[in-house]
Amino acid sequence: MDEAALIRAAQTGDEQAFEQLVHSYDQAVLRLAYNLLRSQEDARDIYQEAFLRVHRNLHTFRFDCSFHTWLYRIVTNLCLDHLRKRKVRKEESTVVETEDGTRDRVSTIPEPGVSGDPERYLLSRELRSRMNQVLEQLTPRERTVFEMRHHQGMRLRAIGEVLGTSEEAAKNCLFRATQKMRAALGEFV
Amino acid sequence: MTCEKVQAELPFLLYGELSFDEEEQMEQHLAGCAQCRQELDSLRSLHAALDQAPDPVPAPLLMDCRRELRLRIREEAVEKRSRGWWQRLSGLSAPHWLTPAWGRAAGALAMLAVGFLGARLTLPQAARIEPTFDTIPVSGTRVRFVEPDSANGLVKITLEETRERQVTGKLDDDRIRQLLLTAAQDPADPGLRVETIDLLQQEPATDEVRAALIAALQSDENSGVRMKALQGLKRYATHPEVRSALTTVLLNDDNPGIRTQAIDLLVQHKQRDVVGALQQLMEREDNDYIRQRTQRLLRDLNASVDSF
Repeated sequence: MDEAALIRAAQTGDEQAFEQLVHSYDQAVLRLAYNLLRSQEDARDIYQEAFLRVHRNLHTFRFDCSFHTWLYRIVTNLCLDHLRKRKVRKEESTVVETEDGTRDRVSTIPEPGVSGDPERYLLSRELRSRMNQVLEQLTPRERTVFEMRHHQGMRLRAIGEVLGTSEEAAKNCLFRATQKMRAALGEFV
Repeated sequence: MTCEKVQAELPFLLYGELSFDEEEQMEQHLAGCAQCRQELDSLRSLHAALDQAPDPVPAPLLMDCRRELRLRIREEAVEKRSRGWWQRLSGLSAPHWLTPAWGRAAGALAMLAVGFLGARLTLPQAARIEPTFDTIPVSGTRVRFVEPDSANGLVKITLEETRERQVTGKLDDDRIRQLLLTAAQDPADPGLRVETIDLLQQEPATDEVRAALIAALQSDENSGVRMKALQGLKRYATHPEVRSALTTVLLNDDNPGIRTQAIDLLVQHKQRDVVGALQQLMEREDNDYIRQRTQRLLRDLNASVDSF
């Protein structure tokens, strides 16, 4: 069944079709949320809220834009809200209190596999840590645009559509993000 | 074009976001400007570092999210239905003293009553209701949907039943292997697929296992599963089918980590059967590490890097 047929079936209450639709996108959505928010719990919340909204409002989807764009608008709005609230609450610090004492959230993020040639992994622990710090310094929009362009491979035009802005504005955001990362990571690369 | 303008556009050149004409102008400038070329190299290095940076999403997280979503959608559906019932009931006779909580309880009682009444009324036609209450196993059974049918007084209940059974056996047991091969293709659970593939690669080398690993490498949607399959294929790296699968992955997989592992495996066994694919790869690959490895392998095979 192609995507349009799946959407129509899901709009009529076909739960299997809805599930299939979710499974076509949910890995990318979860990855986006996880990379942006750097927390399993937050990514899980975004996933639930995004797809519940899709489920509740799918009947209003009129194919005026692609489903991908419609879904990503929901997801990025949720992520941006989350990132902005985090900024407001001054929660940029990655240090969290746990039952076992104070821990750095960065240290709980799994390392990439280290089997094989270690030179393959250009990122030392220090570089990864620095990268996380830089990402925290980007504005929520810069971070979102960077994530969508660099890791999700979306075109700037599509990113503009998702964020309700122009391609040019998305381009400027990406440029600023790149500059900041170069400035912070220059010594490593 | 000035250096300033070129350097401002370099990130977009790397992302392939420039028009054909813009790219042409950039290339011309870069050909004659060492400073801008150095700037481009530096940006490429940054990209290569960033390519390695994203943290893999833990495989169990996706499964947890899917389960939770299914549950919450089901809860919302049940809530919506019971709200609908209450609204219908309250529309008939809603005394002012009846609070919503009382109302919900009354609604539930009414549904129960309709259910029992329906069952009693239809007992002579028991064949229409199956299974009967006596045969429904309580454990491992979940009510998924409740649909009252006011026209004939029946309540249709959709059950989701999970019956777990454990089997134990050695990895070289055919029956165990068949179960593992089936689990390796379970579309709903990437975590299970990762674990299964991990076990399969410990099994004695057989055509069946090799084929399952190749299928997972080429078509599994989850990169964690594909990576595991790739590791499992290391011992078959000289097999023509495996080498063909590795070149397909090298040309088509969107995950640079997997492409990196694929080229490393091909490099270990220098055979000329991959020359064409490697030359194609040089046309499209933008990951510096993979390009360097590919170039080196082509040189080792005495093949031209530029023959595409």
